[in-house]
Amino acid sequence: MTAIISAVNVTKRYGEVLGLNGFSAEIGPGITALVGPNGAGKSTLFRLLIGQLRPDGGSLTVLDRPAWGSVGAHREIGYCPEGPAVYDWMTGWEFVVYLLRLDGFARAEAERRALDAVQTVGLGTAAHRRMHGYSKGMRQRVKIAQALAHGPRLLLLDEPLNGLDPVGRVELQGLFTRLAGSGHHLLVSSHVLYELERMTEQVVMITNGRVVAEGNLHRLRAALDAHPQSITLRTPDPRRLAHLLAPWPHVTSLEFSGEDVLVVRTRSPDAFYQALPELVTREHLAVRGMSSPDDDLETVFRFLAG
Amino acid sequence: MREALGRIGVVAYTSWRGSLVGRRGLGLALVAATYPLLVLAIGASRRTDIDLLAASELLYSALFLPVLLLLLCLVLGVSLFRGEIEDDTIVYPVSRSLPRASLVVGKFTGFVVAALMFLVPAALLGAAFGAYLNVDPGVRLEGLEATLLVTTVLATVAYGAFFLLLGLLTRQALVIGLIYGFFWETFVPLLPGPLQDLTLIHYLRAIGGNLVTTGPLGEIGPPVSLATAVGVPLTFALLVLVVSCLYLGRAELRPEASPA
Repeated sequence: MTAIISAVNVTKRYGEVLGLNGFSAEIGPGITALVGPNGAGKSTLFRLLIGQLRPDGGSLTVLDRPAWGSVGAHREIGYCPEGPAVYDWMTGWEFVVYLLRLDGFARAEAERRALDAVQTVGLGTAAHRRMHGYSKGMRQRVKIAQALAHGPRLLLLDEPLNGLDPVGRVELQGLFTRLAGSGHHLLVSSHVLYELERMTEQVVMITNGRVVAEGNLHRLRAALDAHPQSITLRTPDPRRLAHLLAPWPHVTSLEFSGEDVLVVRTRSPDAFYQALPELVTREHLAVRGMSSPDDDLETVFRFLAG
Repeated sequence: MREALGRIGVVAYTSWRGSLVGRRGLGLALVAATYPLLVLAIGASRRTDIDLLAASELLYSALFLPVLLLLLCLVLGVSLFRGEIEDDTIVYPVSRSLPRASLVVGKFTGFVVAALMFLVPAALLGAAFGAYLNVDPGVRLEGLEATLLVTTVLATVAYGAFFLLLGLLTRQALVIGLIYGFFWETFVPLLPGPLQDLTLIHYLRAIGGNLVTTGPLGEIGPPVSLATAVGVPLTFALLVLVVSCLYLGRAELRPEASPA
């Protein structure tokens, strides 16, 4: 396998805090998911890859060139940062055109590519509105648009699905899959493993600045499924919901937390998420919120790390 | 080369636009306009005991140059990079294939155009009001316009370059810039001795001493030659810009708040 990104013992410090702590991984062609809890070092890695930060130790190469100092290589890399900040006073289209022109595209070509990009990400007429009025989802779309407008070989997408509604998530997951199918390479990060598994089987799991697991997703999922996952449900009638969930074979425990919160531990979150909507509809239940806490994923990573 | 200049031009244009966005552009226009408005106000009083042209020169030297121009350059110059570093939008231009030095040159160019848009008309209007509203109609500008133009442009270039670098280096750029402007450039020139040779305003004021023969600006007398008076601020600006390019080329650019 030809490595698109090669990291050997990469370290990055912020004062006394270690952002990356001996991170080593080889990331190959296609889509690779980078999964880890908040603060694991995902964004630090992206910033190192794009040359915004310099590694304090180890070696990091992107497309066969050192990540730090290879400004020319940026023409082949598209980066979508995690943070929501954009140039609020510009329209989305102007923003994409500006960045294309920084890459040396002539005005007419930049405008054409920008239009394609904003249409591809589904920004619609909002592309011609000033970004200070954008929702989180619109900001996310315009950030992705500027990342892919110049046709890069490699896309670095840091939590690209944040702030998007479920329909938007599915749309963009489809886009990423199509891009990979047409020869692009993508490194996509998230703290939610399950939203990435629709797109790829290759995953790198990171926590505390280190790789704890990498490789085929199915193998890792088997290991994860051996460790029950917590799902918190907010409902006005947790006891009735618990009574209905108790017979499910993959539910290992049920716990009440407060008047309207039920914490479910399940060995198979996929099966749980698939079956829950039908149960809610059939029994006319009101489920007002659902979440899977990060600290539980942290527990899983610790489990994987032994 | 043409492509490189084109990219710098794109940065310059965007930087210029960004400098004028929202209420900031209006605020800066009002700051610059304080000088001609003051001259206008004095002229409107039609006082026969005031030489309005001399008053306008004095106001230029004592108010416009060390306060209004400096303040405008500080606000605009510091924000060229500091704003984008703090809100993390700097990641967008630095993640492109544009050399970082081109960012410095482009942003500085945009700044100069934006700043001079306000400052040159203000300086020239102040002098024009001073000459044409003067109770004595025989008073002429006698090369004053050229002096004000050259001084304003050089001051903008020199102070702007310095504040651009300050904005790159530290989050405290505004505070340090204020201390530099209103202590070092204002009070140190008043002290006897060679210390004033280390201030920019010493050379900027000397331009008037070389080009104008009458009035407060001419009475400064040429402590330094015209070549030195022009050369020192220009050389200072150039050196500072080179340092800025070298610094940005090797700097990590992230908000200092917390690790990503």
